[in-house]
Amino acid sequence: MKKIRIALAGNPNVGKSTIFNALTGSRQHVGNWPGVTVEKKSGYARIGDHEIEIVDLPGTYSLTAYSVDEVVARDYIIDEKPDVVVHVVDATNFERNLYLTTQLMELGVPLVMALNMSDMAGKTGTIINRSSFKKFFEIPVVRTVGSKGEGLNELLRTAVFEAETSPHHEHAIGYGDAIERSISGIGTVISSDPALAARYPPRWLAIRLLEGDGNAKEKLRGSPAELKVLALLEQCDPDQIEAAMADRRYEVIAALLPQVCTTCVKEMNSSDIIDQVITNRYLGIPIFLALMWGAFQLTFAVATPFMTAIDELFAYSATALAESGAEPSWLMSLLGNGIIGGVGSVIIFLPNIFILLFLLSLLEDSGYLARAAFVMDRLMYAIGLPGKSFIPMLIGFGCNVPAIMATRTIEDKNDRLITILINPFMSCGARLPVFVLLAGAFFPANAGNVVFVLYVIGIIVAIASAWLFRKTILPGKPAPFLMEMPPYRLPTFLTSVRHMWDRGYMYIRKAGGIILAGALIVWFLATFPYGVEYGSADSYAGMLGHLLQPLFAPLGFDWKIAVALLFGFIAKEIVVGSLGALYGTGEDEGTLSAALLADPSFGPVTAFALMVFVLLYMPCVAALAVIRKETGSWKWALFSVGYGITVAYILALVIVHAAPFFAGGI
Amino acid sequence: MTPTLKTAFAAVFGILYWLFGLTMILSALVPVLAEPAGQFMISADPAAGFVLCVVGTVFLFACRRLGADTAGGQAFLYVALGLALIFGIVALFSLLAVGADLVLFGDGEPWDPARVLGPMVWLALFPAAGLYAWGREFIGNLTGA
Repeated sequence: MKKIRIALAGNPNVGKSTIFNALTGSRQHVGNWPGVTVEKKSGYARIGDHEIEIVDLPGTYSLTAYSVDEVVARDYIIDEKPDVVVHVVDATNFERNLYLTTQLMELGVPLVMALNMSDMAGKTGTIINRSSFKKFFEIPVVRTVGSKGEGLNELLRTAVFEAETSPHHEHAIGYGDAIERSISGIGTVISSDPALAARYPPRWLAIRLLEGDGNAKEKLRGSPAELKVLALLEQCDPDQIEAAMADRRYEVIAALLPQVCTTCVKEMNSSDIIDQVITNRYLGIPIFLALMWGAFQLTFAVATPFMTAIDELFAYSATALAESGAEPSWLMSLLGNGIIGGVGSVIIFLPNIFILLFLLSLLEDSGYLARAAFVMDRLMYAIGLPGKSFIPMLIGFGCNVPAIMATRTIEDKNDRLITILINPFMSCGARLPVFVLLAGAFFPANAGNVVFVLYVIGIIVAIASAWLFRKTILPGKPAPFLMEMPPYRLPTFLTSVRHMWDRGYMYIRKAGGIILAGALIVWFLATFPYGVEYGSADSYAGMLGHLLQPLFAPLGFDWKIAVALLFGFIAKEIVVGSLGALYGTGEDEGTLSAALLADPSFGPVTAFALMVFVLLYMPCVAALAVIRKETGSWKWALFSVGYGITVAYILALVIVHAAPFFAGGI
Repeated sequence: MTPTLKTAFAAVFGILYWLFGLTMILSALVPVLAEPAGQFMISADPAAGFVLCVVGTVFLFACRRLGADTAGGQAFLYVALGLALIFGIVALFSLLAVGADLVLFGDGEPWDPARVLGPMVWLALFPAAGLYAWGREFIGNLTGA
């Protein structure tokens, strides 16, 4: 029995795994690629007197070295030298798949193309001329439908034929005079080391080095040619060359595509045309900012009557409880001040949170959020982050926990770590109650604008931190933006409501769980030792607050704020509940605002400094746990806490001391 | 509808949105302007003014592109109409919510929507009509491509 080895390569979601499963059945082995946590699947198939080992490579859009998947896929092809690489392409998106084809061709390996999902392509009228493709690209093409097992025997037979009989064809894309001279010069030096040249195709290695591929540089290490190659590379600008080479590959695809697929050259559809405006280099960011303003405007305005209704309901409950004259008094205090006051002061903000989540769902379902990431990519790249980081940052406006988990889509380790560390600065829904309370009380005419400014401050601090981390502890270059843009859709009301509920339900659970527990602790500390006035300086809360107060004195925060901030670590919403409990007005939002306004130690500047402090000071317990899980270490979780507190303290201090110069001592 | 009419529409609304947007921003920056602007129901709101300027800019881009008779001009006009409508709805909902709060939970304070009807709402009526008139034609052109 003859043995051959086939590697399955292709873009993500082209049906590669379906073909692999159909070919290998139960004869599979699943493990990890050496040294990385990328899943490796291999299996066996038989055809005629051939036993074929099939290896399913990770799905990639290209063979650069920006992600672990890409490095794994191309290192396998180069180091393990499979007899044939089967490039699985999605026939319904033929053009998009060809970029990887050009890179596989550059590797100089025997290739077979599996034109998968060809039944669906046929239904949409896509006709790909296989003989023309073979003529131009020297690659045999087999039509397959992985889900139905169609064409798979022919695919195996073609792969075996290519492995055993096909002469090897060199494929080269001309990159133009200047770049070709560099490729030739570096290729010649590489060829001077026979061991290196035998392991890696010199032209391919030269191209990768010119594109600034750090992984390719590692392959040079120890070679006698290393120093000469590095000297030649110093004369080149890798960013410019990489862009020029990508352009040339797309030019080749654009030139050949109409000759192999007369129906693949699509005119612009509605999404493409709308993208001309939405992703316009001058209008993209202003349109994004305007849409965000609209979202916040609706969040605060539309929520108002709902908030008032909830406020009235809780006020009615508290009044009924107080007037009932029921005993024992401590139980009435627990129900009134502890539960209704603590939990009620958080429940009241549910309308804001649900409306914001609904609007974010609308934006996401319409396909706009992916464009927002694209629009922000240039700005993100300038601060050292990939455009992909923007989506977790936006999700962070809802809740930092899923946002931190969403960073899993970012391939580069440092890119991901930076995105995780800056995410707590994106103002989550839990901070909204604090902002709405203080902005509504101290800036009634401009509450919406003040809250909008706070969100902007969060974004600016996140951006500045990303820049700082990139320049200091997490150096490197962000990966280029590569993301599939979903078509624009009219979002349906029900789908957006479902998404809103899925994300917002957690707040209701939180109110009944961690926030209730926090409120009860605050009530206990504010009530005891038994007999003291509720929330007074003689209570445990007061003692604790006075202990902490010297730390916060430079910021103008009194002991009540110190206690509220301490409990805000559990969940940011508790800051409001704690203030309500400590001011003895917890059950009534309007009364708490009035109490804050009447407190001589509280003014607009203190209120704004407090809002900024709450915005930045540290992730909540849940977010901290996720940071620890996603980074795999307490080191980064604790760093996040320490860094957040430092930034919050400095900014609040600046606001408190600088504001009087601008506002005449308000 | 002729391209000339669309070009003229984009130009007029580009200028109008900019005019009202700029007035809102300036009213916030120069307090003396706030009162006369208020008489025309233009509030001193720099953020809303910025939004009106953004919509106005998209209209002006549409005007310039339509002048060159490119398909891109239609896209800019269509998106400008959509944005004007979206922000009109945002302003209208905000208005209604404040009204509902006053009527349902207020202390008898009267609510007169005509007094708080800002330009973001009433300006959007015309783009809404434009979207209705040209939307199907535009979508037909897109899907026919």
